[in-house]
Amino acid sequence: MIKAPPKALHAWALVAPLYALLAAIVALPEIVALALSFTDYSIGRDPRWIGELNYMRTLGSASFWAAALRTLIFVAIAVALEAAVGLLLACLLIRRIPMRGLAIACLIAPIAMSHAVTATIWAYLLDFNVGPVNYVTNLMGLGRIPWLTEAGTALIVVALIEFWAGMPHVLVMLYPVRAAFPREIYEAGEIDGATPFQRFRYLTWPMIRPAFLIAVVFRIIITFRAFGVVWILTKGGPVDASEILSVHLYKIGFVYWEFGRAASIAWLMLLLTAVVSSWAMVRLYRESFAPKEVA
Amino acid sequence: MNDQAERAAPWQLATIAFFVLLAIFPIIVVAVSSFKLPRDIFSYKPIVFFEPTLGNYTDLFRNWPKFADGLINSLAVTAGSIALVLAVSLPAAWAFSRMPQHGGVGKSAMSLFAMKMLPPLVITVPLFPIFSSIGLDDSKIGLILVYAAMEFSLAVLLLKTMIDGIPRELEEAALIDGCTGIQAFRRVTLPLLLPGIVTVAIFTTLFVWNDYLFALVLTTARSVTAPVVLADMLASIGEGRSTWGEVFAAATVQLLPVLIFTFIVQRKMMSNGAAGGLKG
Repeated sequence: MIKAPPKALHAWALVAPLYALLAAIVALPEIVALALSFTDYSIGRDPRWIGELNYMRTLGSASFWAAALRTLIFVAIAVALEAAVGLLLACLLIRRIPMRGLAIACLIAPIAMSHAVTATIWAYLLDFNVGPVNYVTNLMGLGRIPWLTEAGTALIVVALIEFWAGMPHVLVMLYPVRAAFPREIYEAGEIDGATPFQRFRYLTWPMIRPAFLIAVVFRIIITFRAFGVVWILTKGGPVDASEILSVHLYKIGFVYWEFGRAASIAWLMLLLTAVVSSWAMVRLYRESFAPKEVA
Repeated sequence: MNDQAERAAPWQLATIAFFVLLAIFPIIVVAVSSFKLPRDIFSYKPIVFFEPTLGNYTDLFRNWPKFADGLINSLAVTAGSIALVLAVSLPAAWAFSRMPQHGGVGKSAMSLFAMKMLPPLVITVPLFPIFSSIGLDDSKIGLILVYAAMEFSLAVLLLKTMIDGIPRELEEAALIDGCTGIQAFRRVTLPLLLPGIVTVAIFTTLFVWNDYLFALVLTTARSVTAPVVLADMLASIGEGRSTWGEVFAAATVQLLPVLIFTFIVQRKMMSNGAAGGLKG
């Protein structure tokens, strides 16, 4: 009879493929990126060590800080709207409404769109010549507006499109939480004569707040890295009016092929994300693992 | 609980109706327009009633053979990613659920959450030269590896939570009846895990079928996926290499399977808050 392998070995064997692939596809490239960020590596040229020069150049460049500011505006507009509308709809959909299933299916439909399709839809709707939106604004006497090619509107418009695409995600996270609240607590509130606002403020909000915070942090992390729609619609333009950090990074890496410098920006973005996400990470880990540790 | 729910007030119905229209109307406009003749698309006034035509679709597949190739690539990469995600996540999730205390395996799962937080763009910059140097650029295998790695944490977390809910006594009973560990897993646990496996497949499909960034950076010709071709077509309108009609047709073909899929599984998505949390 062969001796059974120790349990620890058994457990690690089962998770080994997972960690091996993650190490190769995610962790290793990060380390390579860190090394590259201290070189002047670009395509077809051997990397040469230049120390912290890339970081100095990045942190000293006006275009980096302008892109960072645009990212802040972009994330603030998109996430604020997503969170507010997502929470509102999660609370409203709980009521008795006709065709609720269909309404929910329609509301979360944008979740099924690829960035390319979202960009196609809005490129057409907002098109200067053939777009229906400009047809309407024209009828209203506002004239035709070059939504995506005008420096004043491009960033706000792509942020609104990001809201359109991202709101269902908040709804999908909040609706199940809201639907699980026992009805009894609201009945007690009604007997006490609470107004709808008071019921939200004192009953719904305290219970939904943890899920709401998680949803907001997730959307901040995801919106911070938004790239596809903005890149397809504006390429960061006009000039650089909608050049958020991800587009800035992509341009330096894959348009100018300055991999060393791109890697330095990538690592700065990574550190920034780590600051925002470590809180959500620890919390999620506790929720899904901590109670089982005792078992 | 539905029966007891309060009836919605008129302003609440109006609010819901507004956002329902905002969500679905843009999608319908593009899908419907894909059946319009060019003169109806370009008319100054939007046309509601029109003579439907499949002309845009025949034009699409005649003028853009690349798009058909893109669809096939998307399909292959999606199927491959689902298979790899499940093959790797199932044993790991089982270990995380059943033996977290052995050798600190449970604690190591913290790193999964960390991986999930990495911005994809940050990974693509170094991945491109690495893949080029080992010949994995412009290959479906390369794409599958990346997509699967991106989906692991969600899949493992979801499956682990489900396995937590399956009493281990069931597996132990099978072992006593003479099953090997793997047999017990396959005959007892796996069938009970089916809903979780379906959920993982749904989220993997949504992510892989729709991804634009990784495909844009990591493919150039042979393995280009449908979203990248679509974006290319959209950019070609200005140069006269494609028409709005063809682009609408391509967008509809690319979105329709996933849209129908989402309509069918929306109940499932709306009942899984934890999964929703990690999606994105």
